[in-house]
Amino acid sequence: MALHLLKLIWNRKRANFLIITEILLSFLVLAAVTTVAVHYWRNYQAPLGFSYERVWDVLVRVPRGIESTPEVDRERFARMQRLIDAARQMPEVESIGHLQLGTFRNWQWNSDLTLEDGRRVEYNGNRADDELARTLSITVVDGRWFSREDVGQNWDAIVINRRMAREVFGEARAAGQMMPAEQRPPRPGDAEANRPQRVVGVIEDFRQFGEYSTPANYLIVRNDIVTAAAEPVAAASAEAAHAQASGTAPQPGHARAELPGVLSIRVRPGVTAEFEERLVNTLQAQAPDWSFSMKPTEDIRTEYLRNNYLTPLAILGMLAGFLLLMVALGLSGVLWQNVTQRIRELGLRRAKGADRARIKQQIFLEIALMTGIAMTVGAILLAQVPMLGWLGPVPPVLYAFSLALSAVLLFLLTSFCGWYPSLLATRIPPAEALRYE
Amino acid sequence: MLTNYLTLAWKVLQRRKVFTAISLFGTSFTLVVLTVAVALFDHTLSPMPPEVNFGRTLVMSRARMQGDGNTWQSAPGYKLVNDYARQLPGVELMTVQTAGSLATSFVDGRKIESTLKHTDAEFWRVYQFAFLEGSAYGGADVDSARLVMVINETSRKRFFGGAPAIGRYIDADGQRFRVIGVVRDVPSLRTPSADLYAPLSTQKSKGWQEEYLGDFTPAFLLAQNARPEDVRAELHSRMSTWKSPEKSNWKTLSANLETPFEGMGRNLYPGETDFTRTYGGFLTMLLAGAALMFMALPAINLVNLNVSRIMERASEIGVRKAFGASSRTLVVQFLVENLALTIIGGVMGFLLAGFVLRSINQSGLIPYAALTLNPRIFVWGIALAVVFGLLSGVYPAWRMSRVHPVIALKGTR
Repeated sequence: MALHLLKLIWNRKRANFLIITEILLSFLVLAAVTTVAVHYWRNYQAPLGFSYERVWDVLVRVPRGIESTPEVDRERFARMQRLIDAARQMPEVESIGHLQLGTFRNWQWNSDLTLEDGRRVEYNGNRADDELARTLSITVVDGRWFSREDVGQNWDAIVINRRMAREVFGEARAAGQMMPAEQRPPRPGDAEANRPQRVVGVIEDFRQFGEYSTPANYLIVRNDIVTAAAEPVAAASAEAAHAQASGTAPQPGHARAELPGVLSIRVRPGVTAEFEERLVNTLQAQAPDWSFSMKPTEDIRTEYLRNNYLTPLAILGMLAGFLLLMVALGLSGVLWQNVTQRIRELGLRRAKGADRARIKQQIFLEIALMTGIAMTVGAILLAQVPMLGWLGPVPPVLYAFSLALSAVLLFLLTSFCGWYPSLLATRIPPAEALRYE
Repeated sequence: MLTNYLTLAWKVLQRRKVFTAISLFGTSFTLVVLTVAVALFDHTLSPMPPEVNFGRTLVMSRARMQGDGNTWQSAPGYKLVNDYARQLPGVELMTVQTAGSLATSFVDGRKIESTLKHTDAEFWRVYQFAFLEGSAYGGADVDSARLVMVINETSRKRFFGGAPAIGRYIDADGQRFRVIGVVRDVPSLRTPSADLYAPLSTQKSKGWQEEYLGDFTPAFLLAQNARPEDVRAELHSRMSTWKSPEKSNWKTLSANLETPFEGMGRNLYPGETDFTRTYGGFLTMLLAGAALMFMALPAINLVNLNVSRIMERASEIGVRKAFGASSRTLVVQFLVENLALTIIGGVMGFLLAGFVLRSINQSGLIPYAALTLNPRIFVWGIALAVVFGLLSGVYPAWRMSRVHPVIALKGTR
């Protein structure tokens, strides 16, 4: 049956070629949309790793430009710490932490490290303080978050997410281990050599770019602005004392600190917007030449997701929807036309004893076969995408699943388009069809 | 002849209403999308106040430092502009402005967030703003860092409820500015758009004069007969003398002067861009490619419909052929018919695009957007409709001309 139908399709190859091309293009559009949709849906399922409920985000902009001397830097760190202390004094504030790169913003620190066994691990990085885990309710699954214990060590304390722990350490326990990374030469602008890093804890995740972003490796470095703000003499002697006590060779320098870009503040329930003005004024009074802008993280998130994910997705979805609707209408029209052109052929079949169901089956099978041909070609084309490395962040398994899903959807679409024409075909009275001119 | 073809096209349109509706829906939808895209481009890249001399304005939107395998790319800093881009031959006027930063103010317990742009005094000469009240600040204000401010219409409404604003004060990020002028809103996609404008020297940061990379958007108004290539060449030759500051690993500093269109091309270019050339051609190709890709599916859909409609007209074609019409005549006839159809679809699409643009304006997705349809966009829309008509008409026309008269007359194949 199928072979015979293939022959029929071949006989009308000119007309069918166009229909197949159209189905093929629709398949490509459908596959792209399904892949994007499935990818975002999967991302949305993964845990965010932190909570933004009752959290305010204070963006701190420190004027650049002044010749960066150690004294200027120390003064800035000290002032930042004074700001944090002042905010913590306010009764509305439950806890306050800081982050170098705020959440739900397109601020990225992309980096990679080469492990001792030669593997390269890419990650997104950030710097945070001891309080951040409490402020943002970050789930620690193994080990601990940063604390005062990490001061004065000859390594930098880091926390990594579960995914990165698995990639670097495999099944072995990550918390408490040194990062088996090769040392690399300092970049231009770096004052001193990189220090070894020690994983003090593993967190569930910290998806800085929100629910729709692709889960990726994440590494947070302890940002110790308190020590950085202290007198260098005191810090150095403390370090030397520690080195003597532990019997290791003294390591030059101490943990490098960076000015945090964002303060995260969790307020008590029932705090109103009036608090915002008071807090900004308090901060502004402490640092008149710095700038502050404050917003609930919830609002930043809404805006961020809208601008980066939802609006582009809605536009894409709308375009694809209209394209497919157009194709559906066009295809039904063409198939309908096909049936009317083949009235004599179908009439002959009816006269020779084929019942309505069989005619219907023929039309449907023909459409299904054409869809199949289009999909085979489409699949060959789409298989090139992963090979060319155009998949980006989409995992190959998910891509394959999306293709299967879009194939099913396409079958449904073309069958739907073929439904009315096939109905039409069954209504042909055999006697009339044979006399048709 | 043409009238004949058009009458025939009209008759054919009326014959199968469903098919006509499907064709028109497909055509008009495709053209709505393309017209909206053209309108967005037109809104960003056409001369309109305050950018009245848009055609001869170049901006320096990106600069780059490189050395030892590291690259730092950002907007240019003041020192780069001051040391290398002042007094370029062929440049009539130049201005230095920041990209605009967010400034927070509180008025009666309400929070107001505004974009604050710091500019020099020439800014008000390069761009011709329409002042509703007061006037701009001058060179003396900038030199002495006076805390004065020009605000836009929306800010006047937000801060003062629309009442006259001259002489009143605005607190932004802890600085108190006196309002000396009110200008009309400028769409946020345009370079000189902001809510508040203040003298360059009132910036909080101290060392902005010393930076090669920063957040400035210098704009250059070329003289009437100056050629952009000459100005670029002069800039490049000056910048090649750049010496990296002490104690830094940076080796080269590069930048270029471009029209906003070329700048957009550079931003979209995958991979590292070359600062000795511009990327306008790349962007043109990208846009043409995207438009053709988008038209492909609807065009094939239309081809399909057209081909099956021709078969209905087999006897008509047969008669015409039998009476000596050449294949060429038939191809022309069918193309004219198809173009008539797509142009009707195009006009419908143009009108629909008006509604889409209005809803974009109202949605506030693009602040201060005033997207409108103008004759320029109409011409573009018709041009796109013609391209689409040809794309979808050539193959069916060719098929039609090839039908054998005997078979056609019999009405079978």
